[in-house]
Amino acid sequence: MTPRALRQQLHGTGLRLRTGPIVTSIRSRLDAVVDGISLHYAGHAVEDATAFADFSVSVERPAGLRRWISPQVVFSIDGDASFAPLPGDQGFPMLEWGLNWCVSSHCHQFLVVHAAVLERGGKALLLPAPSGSGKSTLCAALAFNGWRVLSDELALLDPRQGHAVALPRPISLKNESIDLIRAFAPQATFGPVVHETLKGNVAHLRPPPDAVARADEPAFPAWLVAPRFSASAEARLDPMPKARAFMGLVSSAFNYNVHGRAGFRALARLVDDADCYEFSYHRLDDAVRIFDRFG
Amino acid sequence: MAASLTGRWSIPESEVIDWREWGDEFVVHVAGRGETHLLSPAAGSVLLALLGDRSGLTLEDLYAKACGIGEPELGSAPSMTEEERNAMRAIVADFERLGMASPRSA
Amino acid sequence: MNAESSLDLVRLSLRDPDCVREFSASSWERLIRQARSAGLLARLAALLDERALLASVPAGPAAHFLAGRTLASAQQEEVRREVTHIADALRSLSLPLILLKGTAYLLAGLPASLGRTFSDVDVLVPKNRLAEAEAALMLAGWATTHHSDYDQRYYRRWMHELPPLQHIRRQTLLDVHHAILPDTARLKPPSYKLIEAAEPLDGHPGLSVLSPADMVLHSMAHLFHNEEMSNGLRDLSDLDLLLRHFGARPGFWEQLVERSKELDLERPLYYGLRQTQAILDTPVPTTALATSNGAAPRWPLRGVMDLLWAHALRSPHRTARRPMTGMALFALYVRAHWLRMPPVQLACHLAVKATRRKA
Repeated sequence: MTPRALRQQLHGTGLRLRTGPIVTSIRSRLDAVVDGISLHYAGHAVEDATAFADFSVSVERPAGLRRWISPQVVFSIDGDASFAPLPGDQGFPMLEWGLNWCVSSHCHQFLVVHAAVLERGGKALLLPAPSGSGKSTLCAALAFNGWRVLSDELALLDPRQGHAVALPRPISLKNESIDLIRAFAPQATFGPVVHETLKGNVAHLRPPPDAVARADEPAFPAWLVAPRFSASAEARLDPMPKARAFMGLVSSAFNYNVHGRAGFRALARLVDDADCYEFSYHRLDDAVRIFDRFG
Repeated sequence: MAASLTGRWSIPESEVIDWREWGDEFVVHVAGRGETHLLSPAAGSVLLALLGDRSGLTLEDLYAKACGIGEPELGSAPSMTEEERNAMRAIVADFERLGMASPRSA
Repeated sequence: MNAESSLDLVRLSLRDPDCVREFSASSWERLIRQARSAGLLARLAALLDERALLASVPAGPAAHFLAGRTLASAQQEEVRREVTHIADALRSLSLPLILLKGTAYLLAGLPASLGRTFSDVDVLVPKNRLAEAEAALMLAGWATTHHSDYDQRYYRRWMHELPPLQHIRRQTLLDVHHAILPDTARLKPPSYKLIEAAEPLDGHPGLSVLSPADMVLHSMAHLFHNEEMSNGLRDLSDLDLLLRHFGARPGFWEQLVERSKELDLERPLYYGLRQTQAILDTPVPTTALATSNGAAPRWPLRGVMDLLWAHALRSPHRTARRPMTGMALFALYVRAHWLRMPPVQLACHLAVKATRRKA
């Protein structure tokens, strides 16, 4: 798609971007958003205007005098703009946040878990963890060292069959992690660093080509690893009691309560079938080496 | 809450409880509350005892069955120490609070 | 009017589910958005399922129907649990405890519970037992919301319900009503009559639901007096399902008309019958329509009201709105307040609300 055509669709009736199972119609007149999509979604499929879009979103400046004094960006889904605005240059992070919100709030056809998911040899590695655990940093490192990334943030699990479905999207990194991964994976393509008031510096990196090309290949979780970035130099991989791994998944699942008994059974099966570990690390190459042992 | 007058507890017939055991820890889902819990080995054994016999069990019954479940090599059940009795009471009280068991009326 | 040109696809599909056979991807897209926005995603899925149409829905929209049904089921389970907790909390008081609206439809197993979504539980208790009920509920972990003194006074003095309660641990919401319309409303359906006619709920000792005619009249009164119309189409759909179900019972329509007179709800009955028939093609006997027409407002107000309702009862989604709808909704908003309170209160209440919103 030419840059001109891209801009035309974003400014007009919407760009129908496919990310795995989800098609989102995106509208935005902000340069930061147009540029961000152009960079990070270059390899993604765009559906034509007659295709079904799951969500319809926009990232724009709100109308009014404010736009000149202290510009903001507002995310809307289906015309509903009831989200707090962000300061002016955070358009692309806002889009990414909004796309995550759509999936975690509405996609109850899946069990949606706050976790990174990667695949190797047909088997999936699940990294459930809250923000600040180093999950995204680890995910980025592995994504450029032998693993295919399905998602860095939202694991989409089929509640009946148990497999993870890929949702290939840019990987978001914060603060020190940005330079760490720049050095560790020089082949990674980064967007601009944006300063977010709450989180500090944020940058996104484009998903590797195989993440997009093989997005329709699901994978069953064979390993569950709870990562923790730690100050100590020694990387440790310790078996985690499965009952604790299970409870960790329950608290990491956005829509566990929506699935009721079926959710309990689905996560129990996952834990049954996966090897569960706790992992603390400081150096990325230790991490990559240890994960190399899997599969 | 009031102590059971008959000294017996059971899981109500209508209560739907899913559980899994890994190692000696248990997780349980109480459909009637929509809640999920992690249970210690002792509490998990008491749960299995209650699930296995819905007729109404005393603390002694629960202890015997829990021991049987937890340590199958024991012959007859040893009697409870005071400390163990308090632990059993606490487990049963927790189960009542979480909607997993209720005192049996005569 | 074919599917492609109609603006409100939810309304169209509720009325004639077969029309989805002709839908393009773009129509499906609009339908899913509108239905979600109107709280009718799961209901629509269930109605399509009943007509063996769900299996042939394309994969894209089908995923949303699955998601919507899963969510609605979870909400329904939560409502059942809440009713148990509420009954437990109030058992020792032995007061009449009547379930209302969606809570009643669900616990009574009525077709109006099909694909119903929930954000709270509604119950009715006698006004003279309200303080006791509130105390017992607070003891059991429910806390009041709406903490400003003004809001508290507004609810307790003017409204027909306590300020909404929220359970501190479960975060669930509970509306405790003592009447189906506020004391200060111009129409005055006596609560004691509703309570007298209430029917015990099978399998739930201590709980009751309104009699069929009262349940229908309450739905009409609620719909046509409610100040926020965002649930308008869903409530209309509930009403349609109630009428289709109870309407099959011998003598129901005559009882309904009679009862509307006893309860001072003839005007809502007029609107209810007329609008469900017009919008959702509800089979209403001509005799019932003719009798209820006696309560219609005089022309030209009748025509104006029809137009206002037609706009307000669409799904609230942006693509379903015609240009006038913003105004129509506002006009109804003002009307709801007018019906609810004597005019002297109106200005000060609206002014406080406006100030609060800006802050």
